[in-house]
Amino acid sequence: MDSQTVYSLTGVSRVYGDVAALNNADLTIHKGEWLSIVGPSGSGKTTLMNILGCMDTPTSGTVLLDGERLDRQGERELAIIRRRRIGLIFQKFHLIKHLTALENVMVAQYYHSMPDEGEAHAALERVGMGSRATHLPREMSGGEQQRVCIARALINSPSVVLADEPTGNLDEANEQIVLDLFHRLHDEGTTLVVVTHDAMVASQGQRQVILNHGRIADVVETEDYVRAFGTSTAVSTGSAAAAAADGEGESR
Amino acid sequence: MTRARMYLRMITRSFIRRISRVLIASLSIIVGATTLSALGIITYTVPEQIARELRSYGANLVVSPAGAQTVRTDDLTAINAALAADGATVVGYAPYRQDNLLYNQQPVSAMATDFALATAMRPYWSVEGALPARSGEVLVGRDLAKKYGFEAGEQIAVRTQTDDGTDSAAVNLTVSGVLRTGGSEDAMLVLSLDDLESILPADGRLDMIEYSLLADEGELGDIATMIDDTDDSVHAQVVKRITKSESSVLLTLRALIWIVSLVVGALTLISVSTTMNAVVSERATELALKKALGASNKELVGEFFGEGVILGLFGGLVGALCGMAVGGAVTQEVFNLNLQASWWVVPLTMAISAVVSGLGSFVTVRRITNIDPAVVLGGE
Repeated sequence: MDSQTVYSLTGVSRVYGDVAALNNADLTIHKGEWLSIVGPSGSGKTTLMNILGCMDTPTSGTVLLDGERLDRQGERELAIIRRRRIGLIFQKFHLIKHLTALENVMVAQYYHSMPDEGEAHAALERVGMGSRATHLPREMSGGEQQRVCIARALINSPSVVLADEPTGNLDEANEQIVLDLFHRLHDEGTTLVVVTHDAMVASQGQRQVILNHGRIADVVETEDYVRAFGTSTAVSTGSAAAAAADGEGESR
Repeated sequence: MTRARMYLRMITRSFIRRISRVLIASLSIIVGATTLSALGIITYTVPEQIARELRSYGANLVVSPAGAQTVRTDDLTAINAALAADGATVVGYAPYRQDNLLYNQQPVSAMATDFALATAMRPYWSVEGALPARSGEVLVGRDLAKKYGFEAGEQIAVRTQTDDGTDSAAVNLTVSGVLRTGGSEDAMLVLSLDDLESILPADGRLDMIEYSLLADEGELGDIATMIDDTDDSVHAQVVKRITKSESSVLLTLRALIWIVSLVVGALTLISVSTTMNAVVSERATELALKKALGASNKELVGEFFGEGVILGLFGGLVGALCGMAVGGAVTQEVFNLNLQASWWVVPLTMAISAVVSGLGSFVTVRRITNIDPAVVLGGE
């Protein structure tokens, strides 16, 4: 695993009872890459996301994050990895209702190291929410709340930002604002992994991993990806993958 | 900003912006704290007040001559000084001297005392007429009045027998009232010490000093010993019948209140635990988010424990103030006593509430540990 690799998954499976939610998945995610994970409901997207986000561990296989094995870590160790290396963005935002935008960002700092109001404010400025720092979540639109979530995900300078249906609860205008923000973050070198059922959102990534029945059914790489990271062994045409993603309604 | 300041900021925001929820969550603590503080006040105020009331219904320590010695007014002064030096709480005392006088050549028992002190010690004395207010006025016991037909305002001439066997000169006394006690005083002539000493030799002799002291049986025994050691001419005795009855009443009352307090404390603990569990369910998403952000179970349990303690302090403060009001009303309405302000109830109730609430928070450990952020935040 070279220094340009953030995640490296080898033969990863996650079994619940008799059901294999994820089956023998191999995947490498590069530093600075924007990866989209798509697939129908029950395809294993959420399971993969949870494993990448250190909120679940595989039944078998190995997962490396920055060269450190995740599949052998306990709950406490995974919590430490989450706070240090991973930024999470959720479909339902999940801001703490009684805290302001600024304080919600500072909560992530609190569990990471030391809260710094100035840094938290700068993170909000970065996502265009500096003027809303003292507002409570109920005083903000969905798009604004999601931007606060993005600021919260970025505040500790994580190795990777994982976004689970980040535009799922947004209207078209706010969706575009969030995607523009993702583009800017990606241009600045942030590694992004986005789970989505929206083909348009998925197509923004440099690479799409298409899951079906717990298996990686296809991988679609853009020219941008190939230029940046070279090509992988499993490559499908962009149109076929887009069609596969388009045909599915739900994300889980 | 330090982590501690951020922690306090999170908690204060949580309390201020969720005040209705906080009030609901702290309701059980407030009710428990109110009951406990009210009972606490009653436990310490009412028995003390009742003890004072009981003290006014008779002496619990009697000082009499030791052997063939004589008790004099100088001894009374010395004993009072010794009691004051010892820090004893003297509710009342009264000196008595008994002698025989002659009325119509018939012997009449006479008891001399200080009326102001004696009536405070013996509030059960019932007087038809008036208490002697000036020199030369006496009370006659009901039986004596009946025997000789004495009435208030009547003049009676008494004398005594001198050492050589002759009668002294008659001294005229005015009956100010008829005394009814149901005791030996009903057959006596009751007069002031000064008046008796105007008839008999003025040697300052006393036969008995009654004391009403605010002390339990053990303390009374110590005081009696102290008096005996202070003055060789006197012997102090505890009136055990009264002391034991008082101790029994107060012990029963205190035990009853303690039992009720323990039951209320246990019920409050259960209620707080239930409330805290409900709070965990209500805030499962917040807790799951914090876990997703990297909070460990230990940190979250610690935070919840801290919130529980602060909630307990808040509930304890409100409950203590309510409890003082309730306790005051109960002592006034039920026991007909005035509440003595006991501000120690506030910090004590807050401390107990914080402990109970903190313990109640610990039942949430399992629930917090079981929260799976992947499940809760994914909405599955």
